[in-house]
Amino acid sequence: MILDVLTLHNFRQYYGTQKIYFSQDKIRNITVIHGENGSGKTALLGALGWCLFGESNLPDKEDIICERAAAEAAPGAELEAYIKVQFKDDAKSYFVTRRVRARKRNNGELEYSPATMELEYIDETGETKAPKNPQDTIDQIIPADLRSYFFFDGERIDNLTKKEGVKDIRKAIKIMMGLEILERGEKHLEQLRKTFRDESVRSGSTQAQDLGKDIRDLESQITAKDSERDNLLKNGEALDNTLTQVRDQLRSLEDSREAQTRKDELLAIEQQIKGKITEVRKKLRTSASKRGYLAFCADLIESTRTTLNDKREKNEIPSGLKQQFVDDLLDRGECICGTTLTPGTGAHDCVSAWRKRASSKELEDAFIELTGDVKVLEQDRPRLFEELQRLQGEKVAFHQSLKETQEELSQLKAQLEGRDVEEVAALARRERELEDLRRDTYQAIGRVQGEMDSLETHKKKKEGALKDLKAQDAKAELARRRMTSCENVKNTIGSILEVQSAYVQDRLQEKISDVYSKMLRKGYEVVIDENYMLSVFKVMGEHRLPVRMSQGERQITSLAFIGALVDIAREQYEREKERSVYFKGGYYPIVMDSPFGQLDEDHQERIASGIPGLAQQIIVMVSSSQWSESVAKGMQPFVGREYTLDYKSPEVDRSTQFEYTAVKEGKHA
Amino acid sequence: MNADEIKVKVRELLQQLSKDDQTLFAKAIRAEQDKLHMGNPYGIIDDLEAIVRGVVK
Repeated sequence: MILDVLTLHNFRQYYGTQKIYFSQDKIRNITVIHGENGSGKTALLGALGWCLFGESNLPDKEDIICERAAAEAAPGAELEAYIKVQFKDDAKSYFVTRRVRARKRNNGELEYSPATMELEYIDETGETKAPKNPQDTIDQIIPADLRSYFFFDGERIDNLTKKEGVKDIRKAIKIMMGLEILERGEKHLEQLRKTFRDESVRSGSTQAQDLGKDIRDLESQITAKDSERDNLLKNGEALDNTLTQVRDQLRSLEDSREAQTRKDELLAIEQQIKGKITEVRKKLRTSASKRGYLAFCADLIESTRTTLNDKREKNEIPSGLKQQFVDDLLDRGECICGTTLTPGTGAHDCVSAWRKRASSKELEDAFIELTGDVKVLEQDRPRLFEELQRLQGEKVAFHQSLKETQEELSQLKAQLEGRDVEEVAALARRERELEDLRRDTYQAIGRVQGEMDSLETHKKKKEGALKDLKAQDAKAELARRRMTSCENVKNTIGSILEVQSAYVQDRLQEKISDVYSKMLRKGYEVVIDENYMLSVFKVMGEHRLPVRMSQGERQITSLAFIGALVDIAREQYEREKERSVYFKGGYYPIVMDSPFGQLDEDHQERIASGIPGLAQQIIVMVSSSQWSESVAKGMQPFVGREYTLDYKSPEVDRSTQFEYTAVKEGKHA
Repeated sequence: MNADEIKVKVRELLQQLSKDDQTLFAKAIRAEQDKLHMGNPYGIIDDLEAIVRGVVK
């Protein structure tokens, strides 16, 4: 989606018809809109949201028609306001208009009719079309869930790094990166698979019907467990949030700040050590399951080696005489001593007898291979013990450092609970209670998950047995084939989803780190986890400690995230000539209102120089104080178009009775 | 894995499906695509069921 023109007609403070042409230059990709506070920058963002999605984040949402236009109209007159957005997407040109009409009553009030939306597009062949459901078409180009990522208020985008933002982030990534469609496909085909399974059961034998009943019972139990687990997860999430609030409070109090800050560090270290212990355990399990047999095969190695040596000493294997050599002599009919070897003669019988003593090539090859294997086993055995010992040593060391960390944590907690300041002591006690509850909750989640896994296994066995039953008739057979097809396609979608998710996570991590390192001054590390939660760490020795970011830092992190998403979508679009069905990629513009609001000068400069590379098209709205010298220096070389919102108000201009805004091309004081 | 390796991997996965199942995959994904903008894709199961009945006969 590349924006061409925004037309505003009597919308909010925009009087008459005003137009903004957005830069579409690939290098000079920025359109800057200058405007002082109250001049209508946020209303422009609202205009885009209202036109495309029917919603805006503006106050007094119902007051759409311009106050001046309304005042100038005679009582009984019909008025209208509209926003028209012209844009291109995937070789099509779109024209969207959202319009609202109103009649001016005698008392001056406006009587609004519902707003309407019109959409036309010109396709690749030049034909003009008008889709029946305009909103659906727009939602397919930019889903409403993603709106806030492309049209955003710079002073309010910092929530992407907050826990509350995780769901939005996850959803956005899944939609943009083609994962949502795969997830839905997998889920819906599973539902359909069950439909065909039940259909095949209905036409099947009594045994099939019994199995079908058992499977449905198991599914009901799994559904019940699933909802139990969901409730527990919600409780866990609520406990996590409350715990965070309690810790924030402890950190904000003078009497507990220092101890709480150290506790935060220790809690992070504790998590990391636990992670390392899990990793070592996994390695130990892998070693034991893949090479554990080496520990028990000492006798076998020894006896095989003895047997082979024994054979070698007896010259049995490998034999000094090759079977092929004897065969060649017999074929040639002449011995090496020159004697003719005619079948039936004593000389022929004598040489033939050697054939039995010679060894075959296969036997010799097997001997060489076995000798080699025994050597490898002999070498691998001590290596296994060394590795197990090393891993065991690491595990012990991690447990020791976990113990020390937990002891220090426990001491700090006890200190806080014993403080004279009642507020601190009460909060510390509350924290302990919440931690206990949290532990119980997560244990219960683990238990329910285990029960679900066991039910799933049981169900799979029953389904396997159902599959093995012979179909009763053609109808049951067809239903079964349809069920199998659903299962095959569902499993393939699941495998693609797995591969694609891992790729998206790696790519996002790479991009965010790249954008982030250019924009943020401090040497922080930004990490996106498997749930697409953004976290920022500072590295201290061998530990990574979570950073409590300022609002400006959170803003930069969010911007880096949006930039990374848009960039991956662009890369995908430009790379794929044959469009992938589920991950097309595309161009997305970024429209930012006041992106520099909370930043110091150094960060303003960094962001300003980073913004041009964030997306194919950038639209920035700034006040004169935000358009500082350093911002202008970083962005001006990339500015393709510039506008100023000329705001008139009776308070500053007596020639006008009403406040209104006109759009002027260029930058005006 | 880079983007090209992913492409190869996905192609390999799809080639493991029978011709009918490959057709089913493409049609199912397209049906999902058509309703991707809907938070709750009303009627999608019916759409998919019609596709499966049409492809697997």
